[in-house]
Amino acid sequence: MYNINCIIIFIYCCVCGGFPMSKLYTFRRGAVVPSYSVARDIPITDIASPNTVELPISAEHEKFTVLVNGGDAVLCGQLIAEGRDGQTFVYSSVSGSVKAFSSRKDIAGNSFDTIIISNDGKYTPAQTCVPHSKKLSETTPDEIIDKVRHFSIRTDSGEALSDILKRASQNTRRFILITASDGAYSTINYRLSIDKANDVINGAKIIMRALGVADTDVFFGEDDTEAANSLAEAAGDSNLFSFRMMKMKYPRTHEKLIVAALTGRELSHPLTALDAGYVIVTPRVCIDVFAAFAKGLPSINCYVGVDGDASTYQRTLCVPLGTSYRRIIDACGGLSDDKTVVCAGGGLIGDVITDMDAPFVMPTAEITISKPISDECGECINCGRCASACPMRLMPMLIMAHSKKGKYAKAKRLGLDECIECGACSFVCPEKLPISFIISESKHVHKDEPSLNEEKMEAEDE
Amino acid sequence: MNNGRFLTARELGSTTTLMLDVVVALIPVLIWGVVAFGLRALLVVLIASACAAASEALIRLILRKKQRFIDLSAIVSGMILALTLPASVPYWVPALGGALASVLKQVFGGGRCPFNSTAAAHVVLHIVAAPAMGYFTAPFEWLPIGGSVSAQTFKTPIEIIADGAMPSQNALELLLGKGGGAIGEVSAVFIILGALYLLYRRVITWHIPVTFIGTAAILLGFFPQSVDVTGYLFVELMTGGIIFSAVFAAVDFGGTPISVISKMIFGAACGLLTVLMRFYGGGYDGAFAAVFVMSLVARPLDVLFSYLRFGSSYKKKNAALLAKLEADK
Repeated sequence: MYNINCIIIFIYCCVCGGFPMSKLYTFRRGAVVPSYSVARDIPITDIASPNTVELPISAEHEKFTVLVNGGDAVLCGQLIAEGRDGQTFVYSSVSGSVKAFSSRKDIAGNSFDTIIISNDGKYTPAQTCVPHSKKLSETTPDEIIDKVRHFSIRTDSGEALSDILKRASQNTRRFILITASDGAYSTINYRLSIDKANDVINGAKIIMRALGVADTDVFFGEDDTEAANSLAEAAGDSNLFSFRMMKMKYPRTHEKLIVAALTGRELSHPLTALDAGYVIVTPRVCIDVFAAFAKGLPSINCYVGVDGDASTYQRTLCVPLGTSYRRIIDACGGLSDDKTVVCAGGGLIGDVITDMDAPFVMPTAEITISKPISDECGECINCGRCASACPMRLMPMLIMAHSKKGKYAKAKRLGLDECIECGACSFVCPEKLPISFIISESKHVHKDEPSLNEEKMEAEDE
Repeated sequence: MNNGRFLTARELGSTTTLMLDVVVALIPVLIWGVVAFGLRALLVVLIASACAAASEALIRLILRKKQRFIDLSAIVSGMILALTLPASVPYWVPALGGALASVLKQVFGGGRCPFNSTAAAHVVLHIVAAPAMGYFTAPFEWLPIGGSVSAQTFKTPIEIIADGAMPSQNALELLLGKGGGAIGEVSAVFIILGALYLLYRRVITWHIPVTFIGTAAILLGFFPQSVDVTGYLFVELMTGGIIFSAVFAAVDFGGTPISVISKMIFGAACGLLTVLMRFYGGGYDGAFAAVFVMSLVARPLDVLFSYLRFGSSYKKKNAALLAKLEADK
């Protein structure tokens, strides 16, 4: 019955967003960063086992109790160190034997202790790795949170997931799963959603039970429909998952912008999405949670995306935690010449890696191998492109100018603390100025200083 | 330098691309100017651009900065300035103007010059070369290259209207550019074409041109100086520098505000100032001078409205949430 009334009502519904799939979620401003990623379309690959892995056994100002000695045999998933507060646990990501104890400096220059384990390549699991005995519906949220804490599962930014779950339990406004790819070389969320969709969905269900929420909002990007379809298939007929498409704009995976896109609510510094009741996870977190329950394994895998315009082998890799950068680069064809640069991050955020023997300690990483970065920079011409790209609606060129001159109080007044360090400003700059880098540096140098001081600002004016 | 943020937008281009876009947008205007006023007009433009480029190079040499011919900003500056001059000016006028625009810009910090140096040069020329700036020639009566004008021989439509009469051309002729005036200001059609190109290439945004012209139109519409309101409105808008200034003033990035609300205030204030200058300034076409005045406050406007950022409309809610979190600790 294709009469005119039906057609009009149909069009009206589409226009009003009556069909969820047709609504494009987005936030104001931001930059359009096209995807240059080649690794996106290739399934997750393993590489030959690394000979050794190096795992951190201390955190800021805290040494851990180490449970093994040099020469001891260890199994995959075995507890090897414990934090004194009983809150942090370190597990071996391979089976083999303890080779040595060492220490390393991180990017910020702080040193931390490490344990070096030689890998026998067999990945024999420890006896303590047993699946969870009860059904999900019989497990209480507290038991879930306890297990998550015990297995030291962390979010992508390094926070302990158990802290987040505890804080948000029964208090969550929305639970959000992000599978959107973000930036030019982002692959991990995408690939995990396609290659391990069942693990992701099941892990999400476990987290939902811990939080006491009834549904999950899954955010995917305009170009990630395959990932969304894969997850939808794994979710089956379950109405626990709502799929929401995000417009192709960077930096859409930042927590504040996800909240702004979903509900319009804008959170200013120092509030975080968690403060407002939004719990945001990525597929990797769900996979780790599922592995903890299904196999009794702690977080021992690291997913690394290798890409870049000077890379010869572009892939998403699954390696044991503690593998060194050197091992991964070698497995990906090595560096073509001395001048190529290896960056941790997708080219929009991140640092250059100078110490190739440094291990991966975070469960997800992006390596971008690129042509030499030229140090030449121009002069700001005040075109304002950075300001129109800034998702926090700041004026980066002014903040940068004040930071360069050391006028931090003025920079703070212009919004230095609100900056989310996404890098959209330096991406669009026609003069290729390192705006984001300069602003990040000044943020970290002055994060402990008291904010907004009238006398200080007047002093700067002179 | 441990900077891992190296990715830049390949398709958005560099400064040179930006400036090239402006040149491309100016070319139709320039061509019509030459068609209307002859090769003398072209020479005026070339002299202004050459002097601007040369002065910029010289000043940068003296101040020991890197040379930046490649970014074309001096040439653009010279072109825009020349297009606001009458075609019959003595050649020292565009030379001085081009040099002034560059010198002022570089002395005040190059790209960070806190006002529109092209508009500043225009204003200075009006003071220094006042008579010559007021003598126009009739369009299509080409003045020979060596010729000059020493007295008022032709009244532009703006001047005619200021005297209370209506110009002889009809609306369409004025739109197309047969009305007379400065080199670049005669043809509204080509300026609009240039504006559309700049908008498409995202060199400028629509806010300043629309608010500038819109405010001027509203004010002129409410206080028409002539019985024939629409005709009057048309003449005021289509001739003279309003459309030209509204579009190409925004190209000088240092003197233009960045945030949307400041842009709208900038445009509206420019429109207001132009209208005031026309009513009380004896037929002086004040558009570019209005741009200069407003460009002085462009940066302060931006800083004033910088509090309008992410979260500003949720200030109360966010403060309440923060207080609650503090209390819960």
